[in-house]
Amino acid sequence: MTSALIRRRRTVDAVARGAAAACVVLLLAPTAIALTALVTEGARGIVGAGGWSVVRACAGTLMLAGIASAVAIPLGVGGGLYINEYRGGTLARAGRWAAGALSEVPAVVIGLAVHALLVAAVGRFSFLWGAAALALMIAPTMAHTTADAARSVPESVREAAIALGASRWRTTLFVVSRVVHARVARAAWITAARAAGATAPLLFMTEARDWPRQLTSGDDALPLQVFDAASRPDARAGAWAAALVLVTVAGVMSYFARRAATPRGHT
Amino acid sequence: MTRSDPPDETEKMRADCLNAWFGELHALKDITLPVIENKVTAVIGPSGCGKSTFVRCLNRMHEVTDGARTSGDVLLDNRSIFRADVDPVSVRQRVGMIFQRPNPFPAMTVRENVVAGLRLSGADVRDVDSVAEDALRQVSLWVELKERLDAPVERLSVEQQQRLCIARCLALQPEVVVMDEPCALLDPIATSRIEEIIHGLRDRYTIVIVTHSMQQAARVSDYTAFFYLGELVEYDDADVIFTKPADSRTEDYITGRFG
Repeated sequence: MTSALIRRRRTVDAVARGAAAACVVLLLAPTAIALTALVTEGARGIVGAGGWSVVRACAGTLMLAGIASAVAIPLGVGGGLYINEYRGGTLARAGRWAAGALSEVPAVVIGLAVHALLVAAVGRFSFLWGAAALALMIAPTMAHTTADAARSVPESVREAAIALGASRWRTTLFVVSRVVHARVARAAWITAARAAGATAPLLFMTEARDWPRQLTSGDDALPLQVFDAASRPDARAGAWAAALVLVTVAGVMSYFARRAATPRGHT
Repeated sequence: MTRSDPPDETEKMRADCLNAWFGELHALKDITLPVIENKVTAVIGPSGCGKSTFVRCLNRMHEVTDGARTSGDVLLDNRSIFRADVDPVSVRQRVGMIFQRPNPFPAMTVRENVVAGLRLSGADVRDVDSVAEDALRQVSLWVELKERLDAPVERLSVEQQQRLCIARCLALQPEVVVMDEPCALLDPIATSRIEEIIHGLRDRYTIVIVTHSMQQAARVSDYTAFFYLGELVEYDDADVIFTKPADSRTEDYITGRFG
């Protein structure tokens, strides 16, 4: 190989590496700027007047996301397993279509639908309607993710279980679900974190804060507080504080998602 | 089929005019074949001759495939396994199966894999450790793995995984074990270990093994059946099949003229 060719290759390599590194910097820079502003402004907001309301909103967010997840995650996982493991049936086909369609619906439309169906029908607001809207976001996403994860399980694994005398449902429950467990758990944490940070489906429920507390003192939510406070110049500190807590909550949930994705015995 | 069975041998299973289809494909044609208790029966033949389909009919795994169907009968202890009142789950617990590719359950430990069959069948496994030890001893894995019972199964070699699959099958205490080319992915040393295990198991279990290797069939089997194009060409003592076959097609196959 001639030295000219080697020099050319080194130059091309350096340019390619430099371009890739520049892309990474361009990706990281806005995140770093946003995070710096978030931490400094958010800390100031928490220390200041926004502190107590942020704590209240944080409790509200955790309650909303907790109730929604407790209902929607088992529903979504069970539905996703059924959709894949019994895929020949009409119900499974309908379930796959519904999960796909619902997971594509914009969150604001889900909020509107819940408002029209529950709030308008019942005639009064409830903390639970907010949780219902979030559950409608979580369940189809979980069903979709679980079905995809189950589809990636090799047929040979199911065949091994059936050859051992397992029935179809036992194979699904004790083998397939075990294999997809880490992937589904990770998706559950991420989906719950996204739901916790979702503002759009809760916009129609904001009046709920004016109603008597029905379930808990945490009748506010962080995304709503960010939305409300950001639109009022005198309350910006509260918006920063709520945003910092929201990002921290999402970060903690992402940590659990990563932990859930690490199979037992692997480091 | 050329052989008439001596009276002192007990038939554990029998295929009786067994036919099998995959959709329109007629994969097995009128197979009548005994499986003798506590003996090793080898099924040999070229690719696509119906060997695997035959053994999958023995524990009703054939019907798991979409579009698959059978006619004729398979008897287990002189009772049809296809009767309407027979649960295929119970057949599969009595007739265990080992596959060509080791298929331990991912995301489970060695111990969990060994007792998985018992758990899946809903049995109350009180002494998991002794069940696991007994099954692993039968496949000579106990010494190798007794310190790694809680290790992920993915960390085992392919050969260890295959022996683990055999242990998982034996933990259910089946009466018959069918093996569909269990050594196809193994090197000669690993193959000889599996063959030693088969030798060790013949006193307790009735074994049917599908193999592409005629040397293996000659080494491990008491009886050998030669399949060709979905038909049973010849069945006899392994010694007879490999030294004085009655059918010219069998002779051509074992002497390597085709296959």
